[in-house]
Amino acid sequence: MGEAIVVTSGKGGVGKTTTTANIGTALALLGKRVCLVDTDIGLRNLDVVMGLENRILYDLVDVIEGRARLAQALIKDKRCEALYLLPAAQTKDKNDVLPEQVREVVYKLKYEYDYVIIDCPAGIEQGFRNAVAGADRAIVVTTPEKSAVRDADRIVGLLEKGHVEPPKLIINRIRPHMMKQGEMLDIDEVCTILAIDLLGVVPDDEQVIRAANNGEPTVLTPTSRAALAYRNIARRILGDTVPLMSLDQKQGMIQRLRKFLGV
Amino acid sequence: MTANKPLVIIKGVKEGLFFLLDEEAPFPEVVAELNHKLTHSHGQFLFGPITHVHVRTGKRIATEEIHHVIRESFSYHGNLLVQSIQSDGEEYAAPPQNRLTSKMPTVHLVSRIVRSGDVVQEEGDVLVVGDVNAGGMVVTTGNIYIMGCLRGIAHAGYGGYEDKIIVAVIMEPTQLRIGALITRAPDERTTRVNPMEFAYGHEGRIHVANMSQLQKLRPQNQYSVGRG
Repeated sequence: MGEAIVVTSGKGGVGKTTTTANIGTALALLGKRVCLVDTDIGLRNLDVVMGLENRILYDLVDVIEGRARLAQALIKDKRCEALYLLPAAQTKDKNDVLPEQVREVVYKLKYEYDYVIIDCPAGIEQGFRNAVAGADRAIVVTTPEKSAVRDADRIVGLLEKGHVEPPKLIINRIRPHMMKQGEMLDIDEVCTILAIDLLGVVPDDEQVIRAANNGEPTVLTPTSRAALAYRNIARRILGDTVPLMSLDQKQGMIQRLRKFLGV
Repeated sequence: MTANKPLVIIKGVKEGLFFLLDEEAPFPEVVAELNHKLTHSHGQFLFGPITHVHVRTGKRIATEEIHHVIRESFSYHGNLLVQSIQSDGEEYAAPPQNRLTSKMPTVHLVSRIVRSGDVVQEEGDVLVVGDVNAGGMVVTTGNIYIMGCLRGIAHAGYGGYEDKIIVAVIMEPTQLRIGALITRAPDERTTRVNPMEFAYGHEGRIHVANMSQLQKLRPQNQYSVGRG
């Protein structure tokens, strides 16, 4: 029996879909069987970011409403062997499905896959409830901006009231030099406010935008720093102890070792 | 009937009237005096508004018969409604809890982070063990003590009690409200870390002061928390 992880944020545009695509791909690269589920019904993106848009025949709503079997709707990734996508419907909207229905689909997927990664829509309404319904764990994505942190805080509060275990945090789009100058909230500040475990930090990287436009997750480009960050996150999900990536590129080996050891 | 000691004492309290009946004198005599007081000497009760009556029989056990006789006496006066008839023994069984709790300060413990969108609404004092994040709010009629960082809104003394205070280990509020007073954080974001502070109302404004000033500025806040 696998595990279902929902990727959520409250605020839109902080990188939920990108994070879902990259974590899923990274887990698949590490040899896990992974299924990505897009619950952003009406505004689906995950298929585009994965470059699988043109292969969609059936979607989540077709499965729920019985027009297709689950196996028919799943799309196999064109690069990874053990990576699949269940796309969202584009023509319906979030109120056309119920949380229980999504939970049932996710539950079935957990039998087949090691990890079911659910991409949550922005907001706290029905779409959020649908996405969270079947999840065992949650990852909250935020950027080091006040507005994103505020929404993440709200989401953490809602998740804590639900049945999922305490969520983990990913801080996305970090610009080290701005943090250093105090023009951006720094990692410690974000962690202090949200008071949840940090799963990883992802530096702002143009490669991410380039890759998303090409329909290819960043993790597949190993030269990118964001790719390394996502791979580290995937390893932490599997339970490995991986030190936080040093954001300062000039830092030497000794400093990094020191930071890791906490001295 | 002994003239020196009244057998029936009537006390007016917030809840209505208390009739304290002598516990030693023969009961018929007590009833006679009760009837006399009701119909003659204290006749003004008859014309007043509907009043709740509590009868206390002292050490005399309030038997079925006594209940019946007392209710009969009052039944001639429609505006007096007998709410309870109790002897001392019973009295300890029922209302002592009330007596204790009404004197003890009520402190509501909130042992979680009050996150964005959460509203904690209470009566009495509130102790938050954790942060109150921006977008979160604590509202209460009493004082607010935050064992953590206040980034959201704290409203103490809700309902017009401007003598209440807000205490936070780290004071970085969006807004502070005490009674009907409101103040907001300065627009400039300061990053200085101050020692623990508290907010209080004074001459129509909210001020923030170091905790060492608390006893001077609010001497009535003799924190009896946890004494009971």
